[in-house]
Amino acid sequence: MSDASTRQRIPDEAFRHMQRLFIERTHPLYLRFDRDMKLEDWWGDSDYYGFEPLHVGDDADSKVDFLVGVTAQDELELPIVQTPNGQPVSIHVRPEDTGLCVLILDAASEHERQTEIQQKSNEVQLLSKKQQMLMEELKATQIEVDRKRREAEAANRLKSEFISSMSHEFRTPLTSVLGYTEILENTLQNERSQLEKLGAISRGAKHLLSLIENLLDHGRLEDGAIVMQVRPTDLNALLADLRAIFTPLAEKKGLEFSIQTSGLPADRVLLDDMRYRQVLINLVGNAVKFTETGSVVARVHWDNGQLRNEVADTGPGIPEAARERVFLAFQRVNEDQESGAGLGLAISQRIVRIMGGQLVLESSGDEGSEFGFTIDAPIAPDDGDHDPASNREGTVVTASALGHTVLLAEDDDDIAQLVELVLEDAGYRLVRARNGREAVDKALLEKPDLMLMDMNMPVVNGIEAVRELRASGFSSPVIALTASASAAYRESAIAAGCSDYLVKPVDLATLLSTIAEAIADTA
Amino acid sequence: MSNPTTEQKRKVCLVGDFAVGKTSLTRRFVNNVFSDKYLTTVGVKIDTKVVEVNESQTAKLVVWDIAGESTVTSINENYMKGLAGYLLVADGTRPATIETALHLQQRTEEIFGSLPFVFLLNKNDLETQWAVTDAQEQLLRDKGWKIFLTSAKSGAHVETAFSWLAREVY
Ligand SMILES: Nc1nc2c(ncn2[C@@H]2O[C@H](COP(=O)(O)OP(=O)(O)OP(=O)(O)O)[C@@H](O)[C@H]2O)c(=O)[nH]1
Ligand SMILES: [Mg+2]
Repeated sequence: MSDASTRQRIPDEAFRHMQRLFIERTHPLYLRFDRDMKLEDWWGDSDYYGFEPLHVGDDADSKVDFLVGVTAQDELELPIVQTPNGQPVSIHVRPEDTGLCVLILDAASEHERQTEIQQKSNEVQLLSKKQQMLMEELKATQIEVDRKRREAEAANRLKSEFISSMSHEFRTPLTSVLGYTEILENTLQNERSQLEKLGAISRGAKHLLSLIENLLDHGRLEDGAIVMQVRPTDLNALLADLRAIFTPLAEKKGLEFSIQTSGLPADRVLLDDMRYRQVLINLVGNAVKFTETGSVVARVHWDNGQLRNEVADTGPGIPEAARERVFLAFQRVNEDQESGAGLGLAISQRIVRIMGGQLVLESSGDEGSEFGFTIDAPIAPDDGDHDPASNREGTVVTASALGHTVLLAEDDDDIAQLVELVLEDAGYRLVRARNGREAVDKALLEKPDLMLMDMNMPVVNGIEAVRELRASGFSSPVIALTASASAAYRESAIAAGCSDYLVKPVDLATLLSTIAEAIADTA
Repeated sequence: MSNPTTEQKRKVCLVGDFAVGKTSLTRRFVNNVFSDKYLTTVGVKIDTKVVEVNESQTAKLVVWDIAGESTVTSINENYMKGLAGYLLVADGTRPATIETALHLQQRTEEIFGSLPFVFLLNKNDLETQWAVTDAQEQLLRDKGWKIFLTSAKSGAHVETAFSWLAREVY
């Protein structure tokens, strides 16, 4: 056998040395069973492995647990086996002609080595698995949060869209109410009692309109689409207007009302007068509304391009708990407060912010409240401006109107009639179209000197109609009329080929001056 | 070959992915103890326990707690030689270990033929981390397998599962 040949080459003392080392280190136990798995013979240290005393003839099954189920024909390599007494061994089972040989060797160091590796490897795998699960959980949470946020945004957008579309619906009939009122006022100059009734209609309508404006502003401010329209403004005139509006109201309630100014420049300053006026009206309006006795004072101070505004009243003050909320939308300080949608202060705050300032509740208590804000208002450059809207004062009916044709594309009959009335009065010839299709056809046929185009029309909308007209070479000015005041919409109207843009309800004087200027520009 | 005066012995193996609780189940069954610390098994650990197989007869189970593997390696095949039945163990908080158990069952049957076995969905005490749906559990039962929801920690169903297998292998 190979043992013999190896032995021939290795000197005896070397072989014995190896044998001694091997036996010392591995504590071999050698068992031999016959074909019936009865113990025939054994050699080695059986105590070391915690075996029960062995006897020739012992049944393998009963004495050696790891041989349960093993037959005399099996060849097995069991690298690491831990027995109940804890000793790791390696077991080598080999069938021989006469039975089965079983060699048991100490595997403690091998067991230790492998345990260290396997323990680390398994722990790392468990950790990474856990980490992966956490990541997935995190991702799921993230997705859920995103979904909720999108839902909230969609709901908010729907709300804004609803408010905005509803407001548009209101604007058109109101335009005609206000327009006809204006016409009636002109024709009824001498009948006082009738005029008073008309005045009431007009005020009611204007109040409604301002409520709608507020709602619209809220929607616009919310989607960030608002743009300031800065223009040279006469502060003295603006404040005189404000005084005229509120003095009668204050007097009626027995309140003292004053506007105190200091340092106002003689020159016009640059600011969005409409928005500025809106904020002041809101603040003074609230002060007058909630103050029962005493006074309301507005203080306006200009210094080196900065406009400081304060509105103080002697009203009941704002309860401590409500102060944080006053600038939030749809919040009213007192639940029983009767009018308004609770949007005024929220809108004012946003406007002031866009103007570069901050609306602050300076003080509030038993003595009353004071709001204040400071905005930029630099002196306007000297040269006159060509902004048609700034011409709103005074009706300008020019001779140039005579003989000019204006095509009015407007689907609302009342408004069309109103505009017709005013324009024909001013000397224009008017052609009417009821939708975008008709507008294009009539424009190409009649070649009007100017077109007034409602943007929101059936069949073909205003923007498409203008685009089509410009593509066909139509060159007369087109003034867009629309209920939408968003900058984006205005840009797309101009991009489509509109020359100018008026937001409904259009003040009749502005309409006339804008038309006159546009026609003059083409001459 | 069997000696009527000594107790009947049967070899059963615990197989399943690593860290599913094979050692913990064995320790609960044999010594009625549990530890939260994870000490992996290298190779195989052999334990014995006397069980009642019926009112008048006891027998000795030789339990082979084999190191976790995701397949039947040739070494494990050696360790399993001569088994009378087996316990397939999966960790109910790690669904992937169920897949492993299914695979191990298939391989074992290919190598050793059809033998009695039980399927243990272990760590059933970890309610919040439990990841096996009722539907998945039903799918296993639909195979006609004997399924136990066990916990080596609380001891729930451990004894029952081993006893069931013990009766099957005698
Ligand atoms: N909570 C809980 N933990 C358990 C249970 N069973 C085992 N564990 C834990 O799970 C880990 C792994 O348990 P072991 O019994 O070592 O797993 P194993 O299947 O023998 O692992 P390997 O030997 O590496 O294949 C340990 O930390 C145990 O404490 C159980 O039923 N409940
Ligand atoms: Mg283990």
